[in-house]
Amino acid sequence: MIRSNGPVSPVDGNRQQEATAGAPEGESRRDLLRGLVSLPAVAMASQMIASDAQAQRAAAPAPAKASPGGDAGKLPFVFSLSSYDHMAAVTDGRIPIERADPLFIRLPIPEAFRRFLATRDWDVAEVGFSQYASIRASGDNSFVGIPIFTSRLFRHSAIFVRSDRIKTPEDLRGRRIGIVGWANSAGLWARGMLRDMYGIEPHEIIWYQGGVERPGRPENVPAKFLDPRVRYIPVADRGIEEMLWSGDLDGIIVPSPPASVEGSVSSGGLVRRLFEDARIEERRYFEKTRCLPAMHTIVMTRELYDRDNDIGRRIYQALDLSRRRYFDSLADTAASRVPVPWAEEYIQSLEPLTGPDVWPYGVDANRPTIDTGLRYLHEQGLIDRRLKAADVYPEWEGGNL
Amino acid sequence: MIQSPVKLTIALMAYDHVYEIRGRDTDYEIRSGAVEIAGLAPTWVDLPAPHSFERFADNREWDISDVPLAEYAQRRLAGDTRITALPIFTSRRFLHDSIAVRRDRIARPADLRGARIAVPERDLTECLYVRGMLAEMYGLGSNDARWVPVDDSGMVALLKSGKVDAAIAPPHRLPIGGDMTGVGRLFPRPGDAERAALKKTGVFPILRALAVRTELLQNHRWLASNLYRAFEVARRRYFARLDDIRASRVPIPAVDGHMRTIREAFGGEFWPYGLAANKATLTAFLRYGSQQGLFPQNAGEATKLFGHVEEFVDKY
Repeated sequence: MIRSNGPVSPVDGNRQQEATAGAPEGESRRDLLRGLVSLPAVAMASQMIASDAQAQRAAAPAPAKASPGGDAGKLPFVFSLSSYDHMAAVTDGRIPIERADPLFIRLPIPEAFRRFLATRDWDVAEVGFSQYASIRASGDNSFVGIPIFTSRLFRHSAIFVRSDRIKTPEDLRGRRIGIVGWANSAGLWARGMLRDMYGIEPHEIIWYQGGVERPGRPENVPAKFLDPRVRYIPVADRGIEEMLWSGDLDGIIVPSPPASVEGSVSSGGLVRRLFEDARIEERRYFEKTRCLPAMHTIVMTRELYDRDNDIGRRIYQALDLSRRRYFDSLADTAASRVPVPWAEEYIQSLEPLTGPDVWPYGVDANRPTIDTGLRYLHEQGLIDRRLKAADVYPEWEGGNL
Repeated sequence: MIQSPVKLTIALMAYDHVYEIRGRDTDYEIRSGAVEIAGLAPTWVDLPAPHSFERFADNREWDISDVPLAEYAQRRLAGDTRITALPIFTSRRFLHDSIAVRRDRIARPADLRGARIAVPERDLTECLYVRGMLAEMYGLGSNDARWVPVDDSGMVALLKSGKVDAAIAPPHRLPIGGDMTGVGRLFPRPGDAERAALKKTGVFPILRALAVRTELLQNHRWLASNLYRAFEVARRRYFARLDDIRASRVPIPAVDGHMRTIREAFGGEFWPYGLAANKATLTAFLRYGSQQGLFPQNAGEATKLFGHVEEFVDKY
């Protein structure tokens, strides 16, 4: 059980920054920071870093079981995370994770996800939400999720179609659509959205799974409980991009469009987005489901959790503070730290749907999203039964996060 | 033997659109993949700091910093050429949220005619644009109101006692809320009025621009354009992040849709650097300053205010 230990205020790097702002030499400030907190290193991943981290782990004394509030030394671990403005204060060391000594590594997505799940070369990782939920739901408890959603996107914009054949969502019925993998989060949420909003069932489309530009991308997470009516065809010898242009596919659902598709979309060519202007349809989806689709989340290994069952809470607290810092800088009227006009007005327009927190962390605040994601996993045959948030975040139950 | 890069000090706030150059913390300024300012080995100083403009413009404690545009232009047009701004615009905001009014007296912009309006002794830039906007959009010329320059505490007292009817200041300094009952914003929901003003005037207020000690620009002919290039690349990378559909790089739901809304309002690019793309705003800026007596009557062209840079930036 991860417990919240009351209000936590990690040493706030920003405050020190302000206290010494304007010091013409960086040195004195750096020393000051060092005196107060040990800043985690930020580095791009490399083999060297990975082996350093292993050496570091091996050399570190066995961490004592941390009792919240106690002085248990710093827990070293390796944490893979992509680049997010709402996490930057933690990855660049301005906000420390309490009693932790993390090494941050950045690897390309989805390579990082796949590698971590396969190798567990490190301890804490950003992974696909649907990957984590499917693993957990299968009874495999070797990962402990932290209910933080790094990347959230409506997936209306991930559906690309041949405009000579498909003009409306209903036109997808009976068509051949390419995907990169059945368990891919973008595809999962796009298919769920098509069903919830337009009544298009997964078995009404013929699915072709393969690599986008290069053929032979394997299915990562097989759909073990797929509705037998779903027609699902792995393609080993062709890329789905080429199949789309040659006309063997009518559309593709991809989290990251290849250059030919991107070019066609921006120049109004043959291949276009199914929703050329997704704003209204996304809003309708949001109103109906209250979901802000969760693409990526953060998990730790069971091993790390067993070494310090409070570490999840401390990671959560630091990242949550970083997220709030982002909104502070967005609201700063002294200077445009975030160069997005009318951001405040836009965020207020979302608040009737989201409540005052438009980008919430934690199980409770994300229940509609988590429960919907789990429903999609079940409806689409990736898990065998209908689950609830508590089933994939049991460690967080009873806490007040 | 080769020469080391030129060591200079840059004082700047933590802008997200500059992040690719500097990082946010001096411990990590050298980041893999970050944008280099060719030829420069910068030391970064974090702003805000008290009196940073004077410390730069008068004492030249730093080599490069961003400066409030009106304060800078006032000096420059008076012949002080010790620092030179470049068309790298770090801070811009719409400012309709910068007007507080006594609600019992002012319900709409037209009510400001004949009113007494407190204006700050500093923060000239914000005030310049607000007054310019009131003139262009609502016909409130310089002689149509009594402008009362005050410091922050004076502004509170005057507004509270009713000795002024309205006040102009950056929102974080406006006396609203707390015990200031009966005082509110002239535009409680400013978006629509701001878009109307943008459509009519083409002005997206430029509050701060990057400036360099002029002597350095003379010693290193390449410096201005190299700075421009680095800031332009960082800016482009920042905005590309907002359109990244592989992962959401900022915690604003469906931010790509909001960016589309912004571009529709602007008719395209909305935060360009460079002189040509900002002509409407800069021309209005000089005109407002002259009308308000901050600048000489014939302030001339915006090109006079800025150092020359090569604006062509190709690969990034």
